[in-house]
Amino acid sequence: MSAQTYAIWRKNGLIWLALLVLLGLTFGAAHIPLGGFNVVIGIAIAGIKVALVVVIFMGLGRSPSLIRLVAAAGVFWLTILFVLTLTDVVASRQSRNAHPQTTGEHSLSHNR
Amino acid sequence: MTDVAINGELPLPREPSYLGAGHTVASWLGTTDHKRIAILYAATITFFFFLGGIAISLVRLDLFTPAGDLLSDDTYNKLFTFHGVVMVWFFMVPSIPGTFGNFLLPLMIGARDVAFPRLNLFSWYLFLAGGFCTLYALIAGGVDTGWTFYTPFSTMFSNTHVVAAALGVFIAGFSSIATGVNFIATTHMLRAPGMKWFRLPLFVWAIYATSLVMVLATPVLAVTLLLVIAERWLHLPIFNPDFGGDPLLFQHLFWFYSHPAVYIMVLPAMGVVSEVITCFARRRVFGYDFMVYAMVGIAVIGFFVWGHHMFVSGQSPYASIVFSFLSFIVAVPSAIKVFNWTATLYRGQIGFEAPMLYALGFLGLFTIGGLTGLFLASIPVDIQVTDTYFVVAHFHYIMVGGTVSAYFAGLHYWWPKITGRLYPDIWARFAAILMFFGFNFTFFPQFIVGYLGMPRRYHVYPPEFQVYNVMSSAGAFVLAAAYLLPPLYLTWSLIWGARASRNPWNATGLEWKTSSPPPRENFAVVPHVEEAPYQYHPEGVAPEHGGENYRAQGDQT
Amino acid sequence: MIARAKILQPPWKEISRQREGATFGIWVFLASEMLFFGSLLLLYTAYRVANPDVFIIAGRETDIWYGTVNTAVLMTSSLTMAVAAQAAEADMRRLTIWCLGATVILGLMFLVFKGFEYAEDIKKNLVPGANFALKPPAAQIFFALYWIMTAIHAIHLSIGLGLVGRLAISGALRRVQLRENPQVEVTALYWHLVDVIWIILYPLIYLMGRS
Repeated sequence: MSAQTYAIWRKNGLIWLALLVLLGLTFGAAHIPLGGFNVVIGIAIAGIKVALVVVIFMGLGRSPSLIRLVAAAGVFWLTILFVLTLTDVVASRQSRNAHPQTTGEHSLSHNR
Repeated sequence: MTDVAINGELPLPREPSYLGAGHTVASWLGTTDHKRIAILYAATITFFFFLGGIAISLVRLDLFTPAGDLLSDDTYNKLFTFHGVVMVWFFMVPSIPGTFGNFLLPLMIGARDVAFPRLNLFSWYLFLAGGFCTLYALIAGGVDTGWTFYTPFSTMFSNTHVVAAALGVFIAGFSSIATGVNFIATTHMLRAPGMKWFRLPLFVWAIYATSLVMVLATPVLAVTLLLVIAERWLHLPIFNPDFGGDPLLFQHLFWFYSHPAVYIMVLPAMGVVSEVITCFARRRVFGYDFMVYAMVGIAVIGFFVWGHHMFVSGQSPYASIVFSFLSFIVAVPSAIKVFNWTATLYRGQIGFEAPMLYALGFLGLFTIGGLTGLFLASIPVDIQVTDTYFVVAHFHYIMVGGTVSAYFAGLHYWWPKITGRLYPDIWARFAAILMFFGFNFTFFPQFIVGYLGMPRRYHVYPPEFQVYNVMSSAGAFVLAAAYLLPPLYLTWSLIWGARASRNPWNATGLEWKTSSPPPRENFAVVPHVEEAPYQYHPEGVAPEHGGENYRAQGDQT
Repeated sequence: MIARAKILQPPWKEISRQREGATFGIWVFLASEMLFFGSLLLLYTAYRVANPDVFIIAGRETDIWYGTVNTAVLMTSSLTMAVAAQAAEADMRRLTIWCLGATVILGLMFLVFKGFEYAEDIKKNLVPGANFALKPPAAQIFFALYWIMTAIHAIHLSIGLGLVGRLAISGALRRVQLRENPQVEVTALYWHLVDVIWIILYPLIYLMGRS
């Protein structure tokens, strides 16, 4: 194997190994009873894996700033979608719990 | 090709025009020339415009009388749904970007074509495929959910062809995304030497801002429609309350796209208006920088306001207040633009050719539409008038009074460039004025009758509302007549119209530096840009004061 | 050179600029894909916030082994794709084509495993409907989202396989040059997106309620 080939495999292979290790970690952590924290760990480790793929494999780490701006814009708009919608979801639940109303027990499918 | 400074005239291209370069059907259906693709779009959206118009003509005919005597309730529902679906996704969204955006974006920045010409053609085919799917839904019996496809009616109870219609729109959405990607890449990467960002014509900025919205909003619509199809066709519960599903989540996802969608519909129109008003007032635009910031601001803030469509749907009061406040904010950049257009007219040498008549109509009608939007942004007022004709009037003032007027403004303004022919301006002015009156007779009574309580989407109404409905329906037929005129005289001009010179309006802008119509490669030599746009007069010396020291309107030759 | 001339497309005048443009364009498309999958994730999040216990009950029924193996397979395919892209840039044609081929094979492996997993899910009555295996109604929503999200991911993956395969074949047949080819970068970025989506889906689908 030429030096150049070895260099390419080494650089990317190390990231791949890191990804596998993180996969093992998240798999293992899921089996430890941590209550609500399980979700947090799962998503956090997924976030690290995504960051590795995006920054190294997809080259965002060495991309021109315009490209990074595009990626950031996608993330920003996704955040808007999440924040404003979940605001309503959470606020609705709170107001429903605070003011429970007696509603009919009819299932929608009874009207078909 | 050598670069040539733009201050001198560019040499006229010697190749045949893009219209003459290939006469076979294959050369049109397989073209990668952005100008031909623009014409393909123009033909398609015109077809859909008339289809949507026929649908609503039947509705307005039925509404002459309070009883539902012309159409059954089901047919009525299917007709207004068809009108909405076709007009929103198969006319309004693709109209200006697909036709003028495609034709003019490369010309205005001095490029040979868009960044991805084959993707451009593919966009049109996607659009066509989506259109066929939706037409199938119509022919197979129609859809009665309203263009908004609200669940759980669309997913669980409607007995109409929801899946086909949703699929058609889904496919057309990818046409939008592809076009947006293409235009963004074109604007970033293919500007001619010297064409800096703040030397771009406002129409280019408008198309750029629109493309941002198309790329970021449309995917959410795609998912939403896919979920409706999955729920309806595969019986996978997503919005079904029996399983804990929340129909309000459908509305959040739907309006996350559909509110920015209205900015997809209006931003390009604003771009057209900026081009037309500067040309026919012989004036530099007032406040170029703020016109740019305003358009980008509208595109961005437009994503934060969607909940104002859901004030009565069960949205939490907290979220409603947030959305209401943000909806007031989004009006500010639009208002800035209206003020700046007005200031652009000030001290100009105003000509009243047809494009300008349409643009002036836009100013007034868009303002009325925008102000009534503020009324709707206020939660208490909205609760009173939601789902009434007040809302219908509001959005038609913006979409028809605004965007359709601007579309016609652009059509007349750039007709000589696109076709190389001049149309008879007398007929054009007559049509513009007829359209303005027809439009107001149709939609102004709807503000009143909506405020008085007439609900939308009902095929019957209380008899005391009849006078308004008669006025509105009569106006609609005047409007329809006005819409039929341009196809007639514009077609006439294609055969018997005088040939246009390269710059019949003596306008600024790179598109006017090349022949009418342009050749396949757009320019004989690569333009080199050295000055700001809209150089109609020296700085600080408006035409009204400057005597002869401004760029006079050319004779139409 | 014939192969080189085919890469340069009007209106671009230089291949390097065309590559920049293609890379920029695909990133813009990727931003739209963030919103596409993001919408599905939003739905998942909203329903999980509303039904935390049921989602855990339902989440236990997914097959963690299929999910984990598939995640490893897809991450490996990202490795081979990254190597292919960098090899193309270094004009190492053989390595590029082998790695593109490996990516296709790994992608096909994913689909095969997914197919087996789907078959098992159907046998276990995890398709929402009359015979659904779990009692809580909201569990059907979890699985509706499961089927939809994984199916859409699989469709994206299949499109990716088409892109990678096409590149591998035209490169192997020497129909097109791979070095400096904008298509290589575009294909690679798309493929990595398919991997990223799955990395995010994995904990949400497979790691719920395992403790």
